[in-house]
Amino acid sequence: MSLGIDVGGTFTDVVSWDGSQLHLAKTSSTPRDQSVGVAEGCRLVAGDGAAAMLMHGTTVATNALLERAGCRVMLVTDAGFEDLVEIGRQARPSLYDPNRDRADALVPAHRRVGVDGDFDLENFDISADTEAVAIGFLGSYSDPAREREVAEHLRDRHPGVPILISYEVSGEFREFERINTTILSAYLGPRVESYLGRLTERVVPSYADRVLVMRSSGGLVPPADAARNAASILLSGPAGGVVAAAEVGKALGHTRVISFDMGGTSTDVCRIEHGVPEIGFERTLDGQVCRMPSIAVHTVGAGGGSVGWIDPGGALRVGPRSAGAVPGPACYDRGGTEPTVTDANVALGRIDWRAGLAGSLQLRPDLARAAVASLGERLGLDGVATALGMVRVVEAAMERAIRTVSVEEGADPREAALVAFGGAGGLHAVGLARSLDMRSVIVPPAAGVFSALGLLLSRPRWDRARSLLLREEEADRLGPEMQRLIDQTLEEYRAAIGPNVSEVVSQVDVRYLGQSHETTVSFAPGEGWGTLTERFHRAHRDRNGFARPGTPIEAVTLRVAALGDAEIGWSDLPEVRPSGPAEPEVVAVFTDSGEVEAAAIERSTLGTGDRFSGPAVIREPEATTWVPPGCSASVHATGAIEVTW
Amino acid sequence: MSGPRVIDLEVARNHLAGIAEEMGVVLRRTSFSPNIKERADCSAAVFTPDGTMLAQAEHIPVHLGAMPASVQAVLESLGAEPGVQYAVNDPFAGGTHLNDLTIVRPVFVGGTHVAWVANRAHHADVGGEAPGSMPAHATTVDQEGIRIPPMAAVDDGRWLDQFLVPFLEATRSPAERLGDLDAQLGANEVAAARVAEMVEREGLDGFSRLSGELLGYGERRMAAALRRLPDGLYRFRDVMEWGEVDVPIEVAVTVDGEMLHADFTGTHAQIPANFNAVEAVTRSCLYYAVRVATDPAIPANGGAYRPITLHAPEGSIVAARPPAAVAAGNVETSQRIADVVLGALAQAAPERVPAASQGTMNNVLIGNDAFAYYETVAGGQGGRPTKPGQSGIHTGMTNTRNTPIESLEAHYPFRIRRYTLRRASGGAGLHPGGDGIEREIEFLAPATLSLMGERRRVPPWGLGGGRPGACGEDWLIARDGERRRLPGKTTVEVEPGDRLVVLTPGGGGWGEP
Repeated sequence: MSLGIDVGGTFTDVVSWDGSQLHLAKTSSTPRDQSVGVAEGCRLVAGDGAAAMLMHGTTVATNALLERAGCRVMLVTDAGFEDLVEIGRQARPSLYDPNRDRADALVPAHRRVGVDGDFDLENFDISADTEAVAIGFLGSYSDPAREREVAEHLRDRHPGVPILISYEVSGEFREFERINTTILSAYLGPRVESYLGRLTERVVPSYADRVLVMRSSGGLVPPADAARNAASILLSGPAGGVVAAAEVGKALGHTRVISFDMGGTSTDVCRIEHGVPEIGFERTLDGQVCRMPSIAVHTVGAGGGSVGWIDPGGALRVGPRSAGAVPGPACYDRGGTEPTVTDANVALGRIDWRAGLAGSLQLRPDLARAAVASLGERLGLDGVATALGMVRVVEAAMERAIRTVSVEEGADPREAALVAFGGAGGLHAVGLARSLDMRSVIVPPAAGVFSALGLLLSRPRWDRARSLLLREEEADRLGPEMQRLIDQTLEEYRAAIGPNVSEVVSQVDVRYLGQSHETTVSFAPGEGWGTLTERFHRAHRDRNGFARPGTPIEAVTLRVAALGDAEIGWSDLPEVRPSGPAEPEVVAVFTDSGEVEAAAIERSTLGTGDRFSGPAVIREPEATTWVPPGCSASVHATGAIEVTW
Repeated sequence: MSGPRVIDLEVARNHLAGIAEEMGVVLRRTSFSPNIKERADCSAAVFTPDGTMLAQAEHIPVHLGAMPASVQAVLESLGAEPGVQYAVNDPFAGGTHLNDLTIVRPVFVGGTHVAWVANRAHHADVGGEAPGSMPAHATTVDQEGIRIPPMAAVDDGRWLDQFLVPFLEATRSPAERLGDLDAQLGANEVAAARVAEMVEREGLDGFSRLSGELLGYGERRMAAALRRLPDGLYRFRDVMEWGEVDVPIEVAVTVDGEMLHADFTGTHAQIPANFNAVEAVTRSCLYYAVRVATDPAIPANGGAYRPITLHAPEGSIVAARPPAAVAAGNVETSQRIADVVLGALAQAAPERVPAASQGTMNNVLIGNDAFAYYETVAGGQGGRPTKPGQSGIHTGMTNTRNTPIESLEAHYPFRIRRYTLRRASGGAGLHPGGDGIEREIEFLAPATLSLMGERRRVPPWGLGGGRPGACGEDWLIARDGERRRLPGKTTVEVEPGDRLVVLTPGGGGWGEP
């Protein structure tokens, strides 16, 4: 048996796989110590004996960063450059708002120590209350000697204090990004380590033999390695859903997929090509730049809980403010009176109030309608028109986000399928995909615990990167350097995870000499500079529309990822069996062209090969899918519903 | 406005803002040079057929109000031909300074001219008497590089020789220029296709009605913001430094209900130096300052600027005429123009406007026959009504990112020896000004160094009793250790082993210390 457990803000989602069946469960998250909820989740699905493997997605690092609850870090860097991490790239976050501040450096000025080349190392020490040390010198991406020397000295003196060097954490050139990532890992590491320690104690050996933790890259590593490089698990939460979206898209025969995870307060969008989520090598989280391989999720500040309002110019706006869990949408009857996207969907009949939401909650459609109507009064619109308007406005914002993630990589959304999950994903996916002229919408099974399912589908993974800035004169170094990096990666993979490596991905970030940005292309040790050059020109033309065959190139950074096998593949999932006969009810739903009679279908009654057409509302415990008129839907073997038009 | 149009309006606003955003993304993604890709010294916008801006994705504020002038100039002198893209950088015919090259493309649907799309990018070198095309000694625009009046530059997707040949001949870095030009061309193509799709969806009449409504929406947003300012006449004066001579910039801002008028009468006449600003720059600064002092979220469209009027005396340093040199008007005088408008508006919106920020971009240009390098150095933000100013950050009319030291040192013959905050340079105050930066560069090869900085004599002002920030300083330390203070604006030859130390100004303080 294996377990996938994903901890979200409200619920801890659990999926277990016993070799033939999936079991799903949900329990309340325990924010003070997430491991309590995880253990409870294990108990809920515990079969006979412990699982071989527990795969875990956690927001512990992310929350510690958002709450600035990391530890006291001391930075050792070059004299004269102590403020580099405060200055950053010297840009301000808002052009016109003088009160929006750049994020403060995680290490305050009095904990940043600059040393020069010939400083007195023997008598150098850290202040007594230091919990972790980050060492980052200029130029250390190519020569880590000084960083290592200082680290060894401090490790001898303070064996209990984590000492991180930038060469090991990131290894890439661009000093600010590399050093800040080192600080992030130092700042979060002790928090992640103590959490994963508690978790391991609670679940091993009673529920599982072994724990693996999800990284931002969508790959799994043992807890000790997640803690050692804590900056690498900042996107541990959303990664699982994207992996699962990639798998279902591939299983349904799509080469290009966009994942669309619409929750209560925000929506995550990610591009997936040939079953592989787009990986970015740098991202900024809450103002902190982090140079780690991460699934390239683009977040929009709008979700089911986003509030509709009228701006000073009289336009109807939705979000970014959210009603949150408390008071929540008006229809939750917890004191909220402002209309949210969820209220608009309830008022339109697209969320069937009788079905309830998230289990026990009984929705109040009258409160939803009243909230929407009161906003409408100020716009001179009736309630239905206002609700339809809110839906159009929120979908326009999502459309903009999906276009942006596509054009940033030079791709066209028209060739893609949209995989929708999260509580509100299925309500808006079809409208959105149609206005983007996309191929289809896929609503996967287990959408309510999709990230946890994604953990079971994820592979162990070990990444290494090394910046070299090689030019053609040194072309013969490229192959041996790549081989060396591959050997190192494999060695580390085997030490951390196990002997079986199923795939090695080796790539080089290349640019034209004089360019300030790189394009990543594949490269294996046996291949030559000519092959690299050719691939780069082609990739540059594909992505940017032009190439400069005469211009010399530079091999900036080598990247290697070693991957193992996932616990299960999508094709292992059992065929869906209807729970009973489908007996659709008829419900009234409002659309842009008026009121229509829609079929309300319980998702559990659908089986392989079932087909139906819109208008239809598909109900399941945590989510609803709206299939508008003119669309048709079919059910695939694993229960995934694909909507086309 | 009420009824269903409210919703169409918001959807259309999102679409058009999305198109401008996409154009900016494509431009940055596909560009070749660090200036555009990394420093984001570029902007993109969509216009109505008569050249009124509908939506803009600007990355630095100095492009804010200046883009429409480029489209207007093309429209007035050449009209709109299907399949043609136009280029312009002439500061006196739709440009601002020569480095900023704007490529303008009309959009046609079924033979009807429905819109314009345009993007502007800073080209690192466009010829002239010093690498980087901002020679500090220039007294006329012709010394600063190639001047391109509005002209057809692309036909049917191909660059025309009449533009390309002289442009590439003028620049010191033709390969890099061509890479950036291709990015500009491609970004316009992507945007034009998206605008055409939108017009086909909405219909010609529908699109033009939506455009009108969007402009009306912008106007209402601005009017609502101006209504919150108390009516009155607010004056402010500050100076630019011309050697030891003060060159005054004066403004009288009248707020009257939903209208704002800025009158720069009293400002000094244009001078034989390179920091004359053309009126398009002044317009950008005015719009910038009004947004800062009122509502930063007002959409950047032509409607939003209808309630704002400008009088900039023709032939002054805020509305220069040919043949004035203008390179620093865009990067330095722009900062002061924003300062004086903010100084005036601080009297109307004391709860929003910070004390003066560093008020310069500290432009450093280094080059020889083999390379041209340009950077701007951040400084202190003025103390704010609610909190201290930030340190070591770009303020005012720019927001370009720095180039990583490891990237510089791998490609250029110099080393960065020091890069740190300049402690205690922010003005004292209840909320002190932010600190400037100390940056030290050691040269490894002979090169020409140009500096263009301000606030070297006259410090950034405090507000409400706050003290001024520290002035900036520039020092050249020769190989033998001799230290020499350089003027804020100068071009000098440097030798290997020489070091340049730039100390950028601190922000003014806010409130009695």
